[in-house]
Amino acid sequence: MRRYVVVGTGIAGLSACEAIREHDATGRITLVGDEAHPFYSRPGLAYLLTGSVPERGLWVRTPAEVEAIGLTRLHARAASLDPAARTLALEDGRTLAYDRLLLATGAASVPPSFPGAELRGVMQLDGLDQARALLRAARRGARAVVVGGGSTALEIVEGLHARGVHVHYFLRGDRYWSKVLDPVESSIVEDRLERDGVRLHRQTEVRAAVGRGGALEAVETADGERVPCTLLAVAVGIRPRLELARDAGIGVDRGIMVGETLATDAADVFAAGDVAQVLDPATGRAELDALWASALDMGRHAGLAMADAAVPYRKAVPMNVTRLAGLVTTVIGAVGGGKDPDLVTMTRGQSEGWDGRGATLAVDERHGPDRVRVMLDERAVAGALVMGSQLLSAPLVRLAAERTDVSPIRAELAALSPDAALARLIAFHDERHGGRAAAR
Amino acid sequence: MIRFPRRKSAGSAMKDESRAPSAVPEGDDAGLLVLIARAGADGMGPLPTDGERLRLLAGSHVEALAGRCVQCGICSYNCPVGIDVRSYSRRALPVLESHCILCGECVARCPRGVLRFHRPEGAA
Repeated sequence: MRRYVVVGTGIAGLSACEAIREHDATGRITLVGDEAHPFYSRPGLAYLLTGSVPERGLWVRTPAEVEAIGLTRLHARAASLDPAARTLALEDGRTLAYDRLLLATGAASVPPSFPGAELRGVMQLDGLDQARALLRAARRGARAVVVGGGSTALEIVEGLHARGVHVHYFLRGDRYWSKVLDPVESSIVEDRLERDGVRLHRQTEVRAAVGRGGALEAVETADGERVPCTLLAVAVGIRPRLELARDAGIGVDRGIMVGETLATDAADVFAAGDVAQVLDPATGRAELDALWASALDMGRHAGLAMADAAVPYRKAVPMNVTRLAGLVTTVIGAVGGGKDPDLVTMTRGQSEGWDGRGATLAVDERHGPDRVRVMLDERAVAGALVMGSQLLSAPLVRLAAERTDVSPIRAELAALSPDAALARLIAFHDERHGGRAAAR
Repeated sequence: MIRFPRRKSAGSAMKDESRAPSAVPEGDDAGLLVLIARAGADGMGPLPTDGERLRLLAGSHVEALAGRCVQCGICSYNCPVGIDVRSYSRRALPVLESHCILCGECVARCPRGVLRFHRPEGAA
């Protein structure tokens, strides 16, 4: 009877357990995780903060479904891994022997490095416990400062704002999420935030957090300004939790290095999810994704490989849908790549695959809050961003995901106005995929 | 210019303006707008008008776009008849559930545009 050990209770770990059980009815699956609450939607924490969903809505499996997997769950933290002996030591002293082991430990927020970071009231958002802490601290009328970038910073801004907190969002640079959005898109988001009552401070940086009796009272900016606040949220990026692998001598770079079976360079040790850095044979690049869909896919493929039912994992063109200042925003492929002074590393809900490369033509249009931007290289749609109305999202995502050869109309697109070029691109998609033309 | 008439939507802290019904073609952009309308008819479109509702009730269901769902649970939480919409959405399965009254709450409230009404053949 094979012994499987899975470290990490996020969607990668869960997907792996389910895939293993599909192909191994009798193997023993032991799931180790340091979170008290397994199997919840981490992206859904944004909506817990705004009040759109209660905690009980976040569990992604019913108790019966978890029961059906047939696993032993240990609420514990892994301490060290011995690949030669095939054992995992836990912090509480127990040791687990394994035949196959998966590291699905995810990523953790880069901690703040300024003085005062240890004060009560300085917070981050990685999981349910911290979301609860943010909610406890979010009293109506209280003042909060948020620093950082990407979707996580905005989730905190919107969540606190929804609870009646006076939110001051500090941008170190000139605009929001310059790593992924272009200046037009940043301004759409910023305008909506300000219109809604969030205070934006550009070119503003926290130099120190100050407090009394161990509790936060204010932040001091690099310009010497003192901003009173009782809550300071920091979301400057995440780092894969790869210490177990690194300390065991397993190959790591920015994440744990894996190939198409999600196997590491240690026998019978696999990695999946935010912690894994997968080599894409098509591009020769190994990039990190901090995306729910990627983690789910990786976890599944790792589980299949562990159960001797391996299917090669092929990285999809990274895609995510998020909500920025109330606008549904779809991002796929290479749309970004600028420097971002608000992020040390990428945030959750982002991918290194979004860094723009080789784009030779941009087609973009904006109508009020609705924004479409398509990045084309010589052959295909390299990336696309659809903000607001999602009417054009499905066809553009399909063109980007399948890397459809649009070179027959490439020259035409370059010569048309943006509206006409988008129409031509959608028509091109419809011709290939038989979009049903219903008269309106 | 594309015009998307605003429609009040429910459930989010920031006003969610992504649910606009399709626009009426006007002027030079009629070509693009007709195409957008076509894309809408393909299923990726706005919520049904009252006039369309009868046709949808007869032959439609809620379907999910794979890859967009993060299993946040807002759909299931808001279903007035208690369907676990998420369990369908996360597996990209259509909600073929006889209790579904096609009220559209899940479609409207999904923060990631995962859910839509399947447009039966021949429906406008």
